[in-house]
Amino acid sequence: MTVEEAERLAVVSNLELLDGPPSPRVERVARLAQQLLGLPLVSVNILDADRTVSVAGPMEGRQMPRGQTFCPYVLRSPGLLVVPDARADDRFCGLASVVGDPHLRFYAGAPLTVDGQRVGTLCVVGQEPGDLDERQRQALVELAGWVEEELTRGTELARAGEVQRRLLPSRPPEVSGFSLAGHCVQSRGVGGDFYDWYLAQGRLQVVLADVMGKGLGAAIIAAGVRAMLRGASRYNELGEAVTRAARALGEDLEGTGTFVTVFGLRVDCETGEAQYVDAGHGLAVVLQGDGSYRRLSGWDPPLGVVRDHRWEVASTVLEPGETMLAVSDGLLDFFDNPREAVAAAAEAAAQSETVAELVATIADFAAQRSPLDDVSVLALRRDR
Amino acid sequence: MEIERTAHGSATVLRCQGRLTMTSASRLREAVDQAVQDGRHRLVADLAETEFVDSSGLGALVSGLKRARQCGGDLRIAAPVEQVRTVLSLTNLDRVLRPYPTVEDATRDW
Repeated sequence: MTVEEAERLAVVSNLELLDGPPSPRVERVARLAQQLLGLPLVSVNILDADRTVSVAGPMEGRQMPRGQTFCPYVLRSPGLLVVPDARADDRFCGLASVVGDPHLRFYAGAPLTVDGQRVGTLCVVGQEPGDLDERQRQALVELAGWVEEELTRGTELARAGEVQRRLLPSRPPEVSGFSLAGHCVQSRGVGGDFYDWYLAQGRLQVVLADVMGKGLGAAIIAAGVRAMLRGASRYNELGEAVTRAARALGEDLEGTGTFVTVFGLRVDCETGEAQYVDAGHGLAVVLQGDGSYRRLSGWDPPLGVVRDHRWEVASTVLEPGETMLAVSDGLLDFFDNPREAVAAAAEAAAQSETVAELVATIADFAAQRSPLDDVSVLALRRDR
Repeated sequence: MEIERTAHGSATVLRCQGRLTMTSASRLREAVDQAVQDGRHRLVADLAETEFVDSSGLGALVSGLKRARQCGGDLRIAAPVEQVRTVLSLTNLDRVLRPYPTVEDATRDW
């Protein structure tokens, strides 16, 4: 394989369209192309190493050996390629799809370029010889440009989502006597939820935060909140750390008209003594393992609402066998009220051997219901 | 989301009908901006017909409150439905945006 082809394939793979779920946005452009061109067999084809795959249009999901399709010629052509009658064209008369089923005669395709690489085509085919008039040719080229934009936007978001996932902690810090697990699903690939854990002043600190709104805007703010809380927590007790982070973020939050709910807990791993701050989060509990629980709630507002507020800590003790669980409000969409959500979580905890299992149970529950909002879960258990 | 503005003595009532969410929050922000620009600083968001509020909707209410207070006024919320009261109490925002049972109650001392 040439270096050029390897680079092209890297871009193709980044599209995450081959062998995955179709993109509704690309699908929409394909449907519009059908209507504008007045031709039924429109397809967005992506060229993989050895196959041509239809990722949008009525032939979505079908694939053919790359060498048996028209599309590779488009990749080498300067622009639109129109084949009025394939049987009368030396280049195409031997293709399997021309000689055999579905006996194609007509083809027109516009190249799709993403990140400087030709990844595929927006094309239209027919079983009778044909042609496109000037208006149709223009429409096909313009719609191809639109597909390119959608594909590019998709890869940008996928990359942003990847970066954001890497900002979540991957391994628990090495502390004895406690186990930790977390999970975060952003409804739009990127979003305003995150969880975090690290050692702060010799204690284990866990954080779950939810930035108002969704998508990229919320994700940018979330990265700032995470960094501020990490920095401030190193040198300050928890309440002071949240207060300082909030002050530092004040202008950013005011400027964007955003607020952030935060739940933070810092625990002494020897004794289980813990301080926590509930900055308008409201969804943290301690589960006792037998299905009973107590809520860890406070009176403090979210960050970004009241200027010069001082966030205060409250105290609790995590006894051996107890689990602290914090979730984001995305999970509430599936319940009538917060109490039901907490009761369901308590039941899940009673049936889970480990925190990883508990977090997975809740995450699966949310994933099966395709959440409209970001959903995150964080669990901390003091071992028996 | 439909927002209807009416005068109620020295107060201005913004009646919000529908869902106050990420997509509609900007309407409320604009309505508050417009009222404040018109010199109306005592605002009541009448939420009796607001079926649902998400975090962006709460954000618009908080921004409205800040905007009104900057001008020496206030923004109060009236008659929120249960879902709205739940998110307000969950986020502890009911302490800054105290819900009044009715528009009458919200404007009594104005």
